[in-house]
Amino acid sequence: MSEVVLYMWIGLFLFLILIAYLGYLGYKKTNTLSDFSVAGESLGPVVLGLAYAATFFSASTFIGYPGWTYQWGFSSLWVFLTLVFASPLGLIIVAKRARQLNISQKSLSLADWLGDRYGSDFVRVGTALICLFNIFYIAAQFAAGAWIFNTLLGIPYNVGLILIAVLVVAYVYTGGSFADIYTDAVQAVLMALMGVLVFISVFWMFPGGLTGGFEYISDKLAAMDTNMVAITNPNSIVFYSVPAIIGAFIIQFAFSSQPQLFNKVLALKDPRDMRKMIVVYVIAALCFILVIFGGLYAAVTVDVNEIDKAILSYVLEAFPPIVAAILGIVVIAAAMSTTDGIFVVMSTVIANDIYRKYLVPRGIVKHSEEKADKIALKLSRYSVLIVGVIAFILVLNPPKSIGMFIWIGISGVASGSLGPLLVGLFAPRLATRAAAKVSLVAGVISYLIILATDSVKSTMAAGAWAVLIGIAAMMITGLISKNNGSKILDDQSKAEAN
Amino acid sequence: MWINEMMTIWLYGTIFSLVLIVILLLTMYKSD
Repeated sequence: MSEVVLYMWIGLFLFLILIAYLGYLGYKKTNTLSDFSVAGESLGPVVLGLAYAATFFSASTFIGYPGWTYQWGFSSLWVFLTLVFASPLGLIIVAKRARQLNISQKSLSLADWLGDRYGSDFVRVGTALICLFNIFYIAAQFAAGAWIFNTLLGIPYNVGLILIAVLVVAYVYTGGSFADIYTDAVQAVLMALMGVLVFISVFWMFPGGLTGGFEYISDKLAAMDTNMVAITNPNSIVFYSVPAIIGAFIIQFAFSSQPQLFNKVLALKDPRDMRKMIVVYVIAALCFILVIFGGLYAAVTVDVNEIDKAILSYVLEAFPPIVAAILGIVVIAAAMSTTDGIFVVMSTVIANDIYRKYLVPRGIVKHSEEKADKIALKLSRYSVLIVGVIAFILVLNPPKSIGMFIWIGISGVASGSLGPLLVGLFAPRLATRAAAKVSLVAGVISYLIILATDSVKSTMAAGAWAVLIGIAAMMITGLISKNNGSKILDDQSKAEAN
Repeated sequence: MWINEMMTIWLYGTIFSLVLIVILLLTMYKSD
């Protein structure tokens, strides 16, 4: 057994014990679910900022984005800029607005939030259904875990896939979410540390320090293919043109402005605490995404057949086995905690948003209240398993790029929900019920058409265009339906006036 | 230019973003 395999097994074992212990601590501290959802307020801005960073970034971004720099060179650094510019901007601007409007509902699901906002079952169920796109997100985490087991434990991809899927589903079933905020904070620190370590490895892996090292890499890549050092790379499936770059900025902005992501920020009462939290998040994120440079280093040091293995192979090359093993465990941990959250979202969608709040009250299924509660509980349990199996099947054949695959899901959710969400926040006078319905349908349909016709190479840009269509549809319908004198949901306009 | 065009964009882009974030946070998130 090689050293790294040994460390990986020991690390995994210790990690599982730690998770169990933290889960126990969290369980002791929070007796009910509602206790848990408001626990945020007593935790302080630093822990919350770290937890937010851990939720925002996932295993698949850690593994996937360096794959882009490995394969398509410097142009992939645009993703770094989208993450350091567009996503904090989305968070800062939208969270501020949401706070002004007093809509700090806690433990909300996107479907619930929009359904209540527009008082519409169509919007509620429609949003719930588009949240099912998240299955691609889960699948991408599985694939990331499988590559880690494959590269660091030397087992086949498919066996690794089974291992990670079983681990994650077991984690969800044993109430892993109780450990969420603690493990997230620890994880964020470790991942930020890993990002920095990978970045500074330029000092010992290449001659000439920082500038010399990058010049060496740049020259080597330019000799292979001049596109590798250009600001756009026509071979890339991400940053192949200026519109594709703009699309990536738009979708990153959109992604970070979803309320289920930033409701932790809203839980903080004092805006100075919110400020502190966002600063912590930005610093953690900045350190974290330095890992993207690892792909560039890998491009001139290792040769892999799958781009998602690039960063792992580079780490094995550049660091002692124990560091490689720690990186593996940290990323597995990230896969578990991120996926856990999404699993909860998915089972809420099926059991609560669709069954409990739509099918039962509308009499579409005739169940008594008592029976409905029992069935909802069962549904949420089974849906975890079903979602797990579907996600597993989706990545049985490893995706070409995890970083791209994950955006199929995020873009899908954003395409239908961003119109009703952003127009509802920033132009409440146009936010009519009819407009929200049209926007939802227009956004999703245009996204599906773009996907089906394969007319946009980048799933990030595809999502961005669909989001823009959704917003435009919302504003136009809003103008028309407003003029028709239909009822405007003006609770938020009132809040704005106050 | 530092190293190549993209690295220059990356460097200035990152600095610009961080400055912008600090300014936005200081101006938008004042104490009530």
